[in-house]
Amino acid sequence: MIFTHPGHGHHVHWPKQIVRIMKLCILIMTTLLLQVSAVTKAQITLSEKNAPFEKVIRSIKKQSGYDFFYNGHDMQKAHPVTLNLRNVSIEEALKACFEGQELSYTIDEKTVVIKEKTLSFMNKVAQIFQSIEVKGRVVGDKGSPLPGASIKVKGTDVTTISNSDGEFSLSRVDEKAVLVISFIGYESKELNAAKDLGNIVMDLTTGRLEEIAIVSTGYEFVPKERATGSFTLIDNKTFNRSVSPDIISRLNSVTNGLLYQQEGLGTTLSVRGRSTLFSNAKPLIVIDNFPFDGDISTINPNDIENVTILKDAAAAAIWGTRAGNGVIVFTTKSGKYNQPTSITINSNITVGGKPDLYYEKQLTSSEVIDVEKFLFNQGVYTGTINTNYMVISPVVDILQKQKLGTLTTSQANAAIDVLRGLNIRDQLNQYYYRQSVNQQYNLNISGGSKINKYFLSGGYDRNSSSNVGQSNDRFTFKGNNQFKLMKEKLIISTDFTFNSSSRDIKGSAYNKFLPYEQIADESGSALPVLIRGGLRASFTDDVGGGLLLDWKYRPLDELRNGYASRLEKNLGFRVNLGAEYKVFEPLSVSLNYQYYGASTLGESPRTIESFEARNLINSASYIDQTTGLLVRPIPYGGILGKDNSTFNAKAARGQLNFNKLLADHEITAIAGYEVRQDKTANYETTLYGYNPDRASSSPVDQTAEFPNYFIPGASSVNPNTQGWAVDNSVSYYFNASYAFRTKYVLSGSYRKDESNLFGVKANQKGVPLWSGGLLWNLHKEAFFKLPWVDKLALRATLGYNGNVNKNITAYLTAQSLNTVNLYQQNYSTIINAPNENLRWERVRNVNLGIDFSVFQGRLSGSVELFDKRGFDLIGSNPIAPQVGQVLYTGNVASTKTRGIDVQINSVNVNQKFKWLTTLIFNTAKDEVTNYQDYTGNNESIISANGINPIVGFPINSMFAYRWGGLDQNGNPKGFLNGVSSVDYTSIRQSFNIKDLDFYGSKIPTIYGSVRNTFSYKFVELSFTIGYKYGYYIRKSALNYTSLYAGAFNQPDFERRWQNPGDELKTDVPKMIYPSNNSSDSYYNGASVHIEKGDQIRFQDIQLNFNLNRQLIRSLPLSNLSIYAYATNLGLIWKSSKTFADPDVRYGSPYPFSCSFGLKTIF
Amino acid sequence: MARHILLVVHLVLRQFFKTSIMKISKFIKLCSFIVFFLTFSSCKKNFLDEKPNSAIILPTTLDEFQMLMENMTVHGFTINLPLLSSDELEYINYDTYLALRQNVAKNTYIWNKDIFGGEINTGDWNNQYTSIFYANNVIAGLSKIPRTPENDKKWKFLFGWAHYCRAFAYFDLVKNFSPPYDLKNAKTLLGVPLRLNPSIDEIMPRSTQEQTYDRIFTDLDIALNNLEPAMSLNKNQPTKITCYALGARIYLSMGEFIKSETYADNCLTLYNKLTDYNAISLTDANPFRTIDTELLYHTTAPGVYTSLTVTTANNNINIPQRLISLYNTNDLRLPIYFARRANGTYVRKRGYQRSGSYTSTGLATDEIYLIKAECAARRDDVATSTKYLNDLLVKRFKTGTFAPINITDPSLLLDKVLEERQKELIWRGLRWDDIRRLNKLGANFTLSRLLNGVTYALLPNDVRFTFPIPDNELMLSGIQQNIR
Repeated sequence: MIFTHPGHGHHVHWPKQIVRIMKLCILIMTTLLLQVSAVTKAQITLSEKNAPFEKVIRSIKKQSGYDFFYNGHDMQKAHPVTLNLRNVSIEEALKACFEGQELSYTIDEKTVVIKEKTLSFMNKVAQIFQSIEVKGRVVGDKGSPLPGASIKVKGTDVTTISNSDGEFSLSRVDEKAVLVISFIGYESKELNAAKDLGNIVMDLTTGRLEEIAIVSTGYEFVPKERATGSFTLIDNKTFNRSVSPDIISRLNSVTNGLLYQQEGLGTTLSVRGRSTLFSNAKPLIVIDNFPFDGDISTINPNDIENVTILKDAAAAAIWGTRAGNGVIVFTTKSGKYNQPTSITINSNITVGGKPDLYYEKQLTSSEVIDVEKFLFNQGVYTGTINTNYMVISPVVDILQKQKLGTLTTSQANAAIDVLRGLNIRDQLNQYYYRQSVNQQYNLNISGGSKINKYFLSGGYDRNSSSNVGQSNDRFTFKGNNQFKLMKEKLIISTDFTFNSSSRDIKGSAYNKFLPYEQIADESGSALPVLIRGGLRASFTDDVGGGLLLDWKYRPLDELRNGYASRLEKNLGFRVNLGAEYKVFEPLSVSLNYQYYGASTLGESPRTIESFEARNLINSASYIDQTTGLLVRPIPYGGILGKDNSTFNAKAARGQLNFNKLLADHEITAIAGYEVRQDKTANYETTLYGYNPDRASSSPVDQTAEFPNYFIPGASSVNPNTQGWAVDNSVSYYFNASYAFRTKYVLSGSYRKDESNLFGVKANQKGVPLWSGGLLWNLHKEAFFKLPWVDKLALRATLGYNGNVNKNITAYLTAQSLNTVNLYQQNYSTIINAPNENLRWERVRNVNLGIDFSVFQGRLSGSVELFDKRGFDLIGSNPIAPQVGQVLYTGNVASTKTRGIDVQINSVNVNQKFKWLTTLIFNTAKDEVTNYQDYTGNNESIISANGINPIVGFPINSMFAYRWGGLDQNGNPKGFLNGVSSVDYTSIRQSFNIKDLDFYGSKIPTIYGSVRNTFSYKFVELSFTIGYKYGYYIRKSALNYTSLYAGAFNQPDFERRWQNPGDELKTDVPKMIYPSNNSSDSYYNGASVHIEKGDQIRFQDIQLNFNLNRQLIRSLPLSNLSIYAYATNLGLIWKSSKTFADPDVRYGSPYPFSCSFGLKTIF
Repeated sequence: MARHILLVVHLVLRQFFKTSIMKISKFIKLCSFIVFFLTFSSCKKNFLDEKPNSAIILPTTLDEFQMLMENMTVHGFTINLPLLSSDELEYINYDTYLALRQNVAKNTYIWNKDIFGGEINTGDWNNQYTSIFYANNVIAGLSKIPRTPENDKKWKFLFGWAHYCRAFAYFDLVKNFSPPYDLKNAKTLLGVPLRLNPSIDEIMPRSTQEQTYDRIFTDLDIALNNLEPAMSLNKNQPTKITCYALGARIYLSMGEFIKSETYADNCLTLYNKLTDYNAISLTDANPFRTIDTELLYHTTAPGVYTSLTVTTANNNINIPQRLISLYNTNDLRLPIYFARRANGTYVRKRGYQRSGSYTSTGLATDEIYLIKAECAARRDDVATSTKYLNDLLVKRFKTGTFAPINITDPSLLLDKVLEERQKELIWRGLRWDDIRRLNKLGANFTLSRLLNGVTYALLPNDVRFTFPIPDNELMLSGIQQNIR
């Protein structure tokens, strides 16, 4: 077996047929690599001036080894020949020789027969039709293929267009004909017809700095300049500007129409705002022509060639029900035909700072101690103290001893003062965090002959996180091959991607319980700490009279020794097989198949030394009343949690491609059929009494409850769980575009999706989604006479996309959680009342766009307006509770999202020193236009973490209680029905939304970036400034109820109302006991905590030294880049007065990180 | 010339093209399928009908219907409102009252006209209808399962269970959201909407009180005909015993004492075991076992209101001193039912439910003994009444301390039975209905509260003894509100 889990001997059982496919792929790739450029031909070199014909023929015979047959009489008719040939084929040599002669020749095998030309009538007719088949490939100045270029025989109507590899062929072309090759944005080119024209390199129209973009929809390649839809291309250079181990973070601030939100540790991507409420709101990720639903972090960015973002209906409708949130198409690298082998090595290292643990506000140790003293005097801890096993803090312990008289007041105060000086964050910073280091290495080899192209890449990433004990690595391998068979009528492509990554986490998460606790003593030895809801120090000191296991928790020991750890191993591979067969001239058939398999194996060993194992064993232990001996129902030993999740996707696609250019008319069309299945499965199991040396464990009753050693309650062990999910879908699609004189382009698409998600009735209907679009290249019109405008194109599209909601079906469904009722019986809950009329969500998408380029490309860009309307969105409607359900879930809601996407590229200085600016500006404003559910009371509107749709307001609305300041007693004043009130319960439960202040969206509504690039000779410097406007954030606020429950990570305690008159200086209510939960909730939700999130961020900076042979002739390589990149550089401006980074309101911001790298091309 | 020939060739090609395009597309579809299914092991006829998720159950089998009935978070709850508004609790002080999280708890305590104060889905109305919805789904589903000798026993058990469950829920609704049962006016008084099928498209108006009670007994009869007579150890599963117990409770509430006594007799004939409290820990915060001898059917009041939690940590309420003082010093119920706080006040400990912090509102044999004793007293059968009362109380007193009750006056005996009923069944959710029915018979109980210096009173037979129907139910179904 190829894939084994090292060290443990756990085999991954890949399906047999997959192994077979993999083997076959490797074989094919290896074989083809060996075949590269194995074809050679007779080469002839001749240099003659007015030489006798016969002499030249003899010379050719000698060089070629061919036999020549002719009679001497004919030779006398020959003219002398002047030639200068170097390394040409025999055909070319003969052709040159016979130019203008009255003789003709035929080649048969290795024999050349020379005859006198006979010009009968038929011959003369034949001469007219004497023609050749012309082949060639149109490429841009950087060698990338130009699909859709037009090739016309000059003076005739015979035309064709190049395919996705830039290749074309024309049959029956007069040998002497001239071909005109044209492509928008490039200078037209004329060349003499020849059988094989090889690579025809096109030159960019003067003033243009960038090559023409070819965008990918995942189904076909479209030249952007002929696309009606809204596509944004992120080219390879832009994609690789930033350094990261993943592909998603490289999309930040480099493209219009995409909002990259990084809050806390989560990242969300959204294309043109949100147009669903509760369904999947993530953009569809497409890799290698198929949707990618696996773990995105397994993709190596070095394997990505470029990225296309499909934003509107015309661009994305081809993806049907999955396109409602936009589509991001990653195109992976491949080799190029007729290109020598090149080897690229890229390696970099990124160092990140320690996270700032002091970023999040919290009470000081001294303040916490004062609160504890206050509560102690209120008698809060009496019940706890009287229960001998319940945890009390060291301060409460001291106070109790003082109360009992075992400590004097001064002793107690002295002991407490010591604690006041301690800060757990200092120790966490010292022991738990470090600088992060990410290393990345990648090597790839690519190249191609006339009939084959290949790409091979291997990558290795090693990251050690800023959390001590946490690291991960990734190995990726990718190989692809494409070759032409059957006189280039058949193209076969294979692609294989493999990745193996592992994650290693040592130590269990330590949640600080008290701010003045210490995890290590001065010498660095681990100290025991207390746990919220855990056991008292004095109780664990005793350890059941010594019968039990040590019951102390020393987090630092666990971290250092890895007593509790988590290991994850992820294996994944993707196989893509494709075949394209040219049936006849304009029509080809293609078949594609993808298999993707991924599995994650997780192990969470907790050794007997770990607190978790000891605690569980102790908790369940008891003393047998008859024998007096200790009994351990949970066996002595470690705990081993094992989990496995697998993901399999299989997809097959058959497609007809049609590509025809007839004079002024160009038609491209695809029609296809696709079948797909995604399957996930997982299981989780836990072994007890685990001994790693013997790999043994002991059985434990998973349903039993073990009464606790201390009262009351019981412990139970983790039950084994498993589950699976499967998505099946069948789709039909059609996409066509028609262009007239490349001035007007009309496009249309249609797609129908059917799946197993919604149940039979919805399936029978499927969901038909369509789009239509128009493009007008205004600058090509004869009447358009503005010489300074290079390009002006207008685009308009309309169409429908869909959204998927996997949580709902048309049937009555119940869900069985793996829990039992009081009498140990499994039970189930109805999760879905039957709804026969359930449909897919639809999004109507209108896009209007202008593409322009002026002053010879000095200023170019696009401006687009969009309007997205979500229809039939799945949401909830209230129904009379007497039916047994309070909400009816169905297609009940609508939304509206509008916005603008602007991208402007400007060449400010274009001398040896160059200065380029890219400006990106987006707006996206959404609104709920129909939703019938109760919005809930004011409390539920305010505390909504998710979406709480209210008609007429943004999907993610920020509301707050109107704030009336503090009264003279330090209590907050609110409003009930417009009147000042302190009835917090009624304020919170009121349905009068007018008592709330509405601010706006919680999500940025205006965002974008500015990137400036400076270059001089081989040095390039660029930096990005990102900005986000038009949204609001909520600060966390002091909450006495949770403070009394021990949550000390709260702000503003020092600013609280303490004396009359303070209400003029502060908004923080006074500390009262008992706390009033309603008052706390009101204060926490009050408008005084709302701030604008607006910000301007110094996103990143990049410096690149790019050396090549043009600059340094002696360079031993063709290209050498040395680069540096820094990110998380902080904010330039922000509206918030509270947060250094308004996007980070809890925890700590991403620390500054800096990368250095080297890229060489041989 | 050349152009003409090209044109002909082109036309021919086009013709070929037209005919072949259909063939090609069929070929493509076939190829896609072949390629796709080559890697599959099973057949794909139902490719688009495949169940999408292992966690989803489309209930069709008896086991799956049983799983719906076993859901105690749906079927195991009774309405909270009678506990919040009866005289079995009082708030420690006004501040505690003010800090209550729910308006319902505040308003119900002082018997406000509007108790919901804008709150919706408070559960009191909805939970019972959810339980009915489940039962209706099970009844509808069972009708599609062919009965065979093999499955007959289980089919009947589930069929009976679902009907029992529906009867239980409708009674809980009618005794709270409809006026006290009135035989004379039952045809005109409003009951509750009766939903007998699982459809969610249909809105039912309120039935009459008579229709509601008829339905309850129709369902209870079906349950009796299908359930087993033997006691179940799973106290959420009904048997004939629980059916009789429920019937006795309902008839008592209706004032139909003869029928109530018959049901009580039938119940006790099948099962009459009592728990001897001398065997119960007086100090344990959880004195009873999950499967207590006395418990017939397990339900609790759901714990949405903190004041109703039965843990010693409930710092919101006291048990009124008036009630505490009713218990004799040798009465084991005082230490078993209540925990004494340091300041001398009392709070309710866990009862028959043992686990969880919600008070037990199910059926138990002690209630049936008291029903039997009450009904017997009402027909002046002093001997029978005292026998059942003494049989119960002897298990409640410290061994050797109980002096049997020996009252000969039926009216005085009835008073004694009712006092014992209040002491025995405290915090079981029965007190409110007892006040309703007894006032109807002329008992003349006035409830009163003193809160922040204000006295609130609820006079006998006040319309506020019937709770209002939640606002969102009225708004969405248009059914009629109670006069309050």
